[in-house]
Amino acid sequence: MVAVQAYTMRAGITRALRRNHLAKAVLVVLALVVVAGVFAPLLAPADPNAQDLLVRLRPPSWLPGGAAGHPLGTDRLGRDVASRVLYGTRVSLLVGVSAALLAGLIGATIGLVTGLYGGWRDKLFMRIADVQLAFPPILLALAIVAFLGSGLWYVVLVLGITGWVSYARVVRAEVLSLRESDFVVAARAAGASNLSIMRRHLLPNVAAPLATIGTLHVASAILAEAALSYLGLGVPPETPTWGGMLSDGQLYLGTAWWIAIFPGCAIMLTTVAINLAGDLLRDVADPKAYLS
Amino acid sequence: MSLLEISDLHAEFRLGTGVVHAVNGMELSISEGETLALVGESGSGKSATALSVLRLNPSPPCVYTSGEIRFAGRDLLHSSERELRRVRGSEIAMIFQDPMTSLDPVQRIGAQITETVRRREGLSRYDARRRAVSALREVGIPEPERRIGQYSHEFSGGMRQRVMIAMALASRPRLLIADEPTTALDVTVQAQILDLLAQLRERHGTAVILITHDLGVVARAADRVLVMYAGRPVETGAVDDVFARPTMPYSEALLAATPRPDTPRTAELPAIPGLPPRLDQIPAGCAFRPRCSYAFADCAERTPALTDRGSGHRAACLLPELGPRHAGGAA
Repeated sequence: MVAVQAYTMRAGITRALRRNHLAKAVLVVLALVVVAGVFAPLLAPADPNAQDLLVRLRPPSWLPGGAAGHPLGTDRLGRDVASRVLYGTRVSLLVGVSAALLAGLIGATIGLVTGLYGGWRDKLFMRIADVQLAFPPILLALAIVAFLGSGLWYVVLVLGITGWVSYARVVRAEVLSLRESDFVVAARAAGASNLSIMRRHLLPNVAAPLATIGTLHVASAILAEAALSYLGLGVPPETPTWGGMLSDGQLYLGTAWWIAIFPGCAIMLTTVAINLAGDLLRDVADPKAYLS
Repeated sequence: MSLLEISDLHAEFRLGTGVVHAVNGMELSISEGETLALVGESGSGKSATALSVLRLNPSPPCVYTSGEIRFAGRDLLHSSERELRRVRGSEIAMIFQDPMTSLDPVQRIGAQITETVRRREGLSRYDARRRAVSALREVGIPEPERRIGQYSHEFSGGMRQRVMIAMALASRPRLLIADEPTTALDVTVQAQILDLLAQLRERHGTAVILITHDLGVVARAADRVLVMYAGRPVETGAVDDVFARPTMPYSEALLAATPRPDTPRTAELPAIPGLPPRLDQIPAGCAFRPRCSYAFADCAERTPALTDRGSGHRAACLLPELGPRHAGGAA
């Protein structure tokens, strides 16, 4: 007998990290972003909300006219840009990950139920999905924020509610083929209820595509949070967020570019890294790619 | 008293393109500890009948229009889903044709084997593990302690079928329905699996409904046989009886079409002319009539019922007995 190395996602990820330099780079960037968010209070040179009107709109310390102690300059209220970018990482990651989890939870549940049961549940939820896709998400977000009010968790809620459709569709499509598969019929013949079939057989089998969509959704949720904050609909203004800083900084783009450019770079770097991670995860989740 | 008794079962699949009458007046009975073989061509309603017992035909489109399925005194056809779930897997277990796809690819073997017993008996993780190990040992899988931690792709086809049998028997069912358990396996492994089933039946007194289209398997493993055609039973009786003296032309033709070691290599294998009827347009009268070499005018008029041919042997044919035989006694 030939010993065949079992294919697991974990083995695939390890292999990708060993062979693929892009994967290494992505991992390093993501690790830096997470460290920046988690250890923001230790890394930040100043309190992100401390105002110092004596050093307003000063360029980064390494440029002519820069204020000492402000490595990325200061904004119009004399707050330290570096500190605000670091603290903004926390909001972005928190919102991105929570929104993806919430949307994943809603979407996977709806996908499992509609896929397995079919019938009226399927028709109902798929029509709701169609209707929701017909609305521009930002409009929906505006409506919800206007209705509920703004705040960090409202943003998460909004992004969760607007993001479930893609999860539900993918899970439903997978379940439609899985539910006819022999092992699901076998489980049924062994007396499994619909609930335990969903939990024990369907969910584990759709985990790989779910993880991929989830990762990509983290990036788009970070962008969406930035967009909402930019529009003033996100978290309260005193909370440092990347989107809020962009919006503050745009007035000064000509004179104090550092206010908007650094948070902009942070957004770009993070979302690109997460998107690449999502793509890599998708490749790894497909064992056929592994075998070739 | 029989353990399972199906009478006048009708099941149809209502598809967009028409109604497929998969089971048309099926009847069978099986006693405790007995092995009954269900034979017939593809599409003769063997699997649909088997799945009906646990009401596992996908519904919609399947509708059970009439009949009764009595198992140990209960009518399964009209039980609630909840009552059925208690029967499934614990009193009646099933194994399927393709062991390559009947196991969940992302779950470890041990967890799958004990899923049912853990749910039923609330076993602890430790006891469940021991149960899984002993179940694998019982079906002859070496190194069960190591194997329970593996995934299905790490098993060969024959080993997977053993795992399926271990799963099915873990909760000591009274009836095992084996839907073509050896069709997807190569011949030597087939023999091992059949031997295993026979051993387990001996040890636990499990009744077995063995679905197959392989008459060799029937001769080897079954006590009684039931031949199906177009969703109906056409002949039933003790295997030796039916094989030696088929009294329905279809069974006779099936037997004649079985290759045997003494068939000359150059001889053409006899085949049954024509095709089985389309199940969405079954002709009136005897469904086998268009392919039957004995057919006469009456066959188009009357649908033959199963009638007694002595010592439990029953056949559905208007002829009291078949004329000059071209099928020899078998097995």
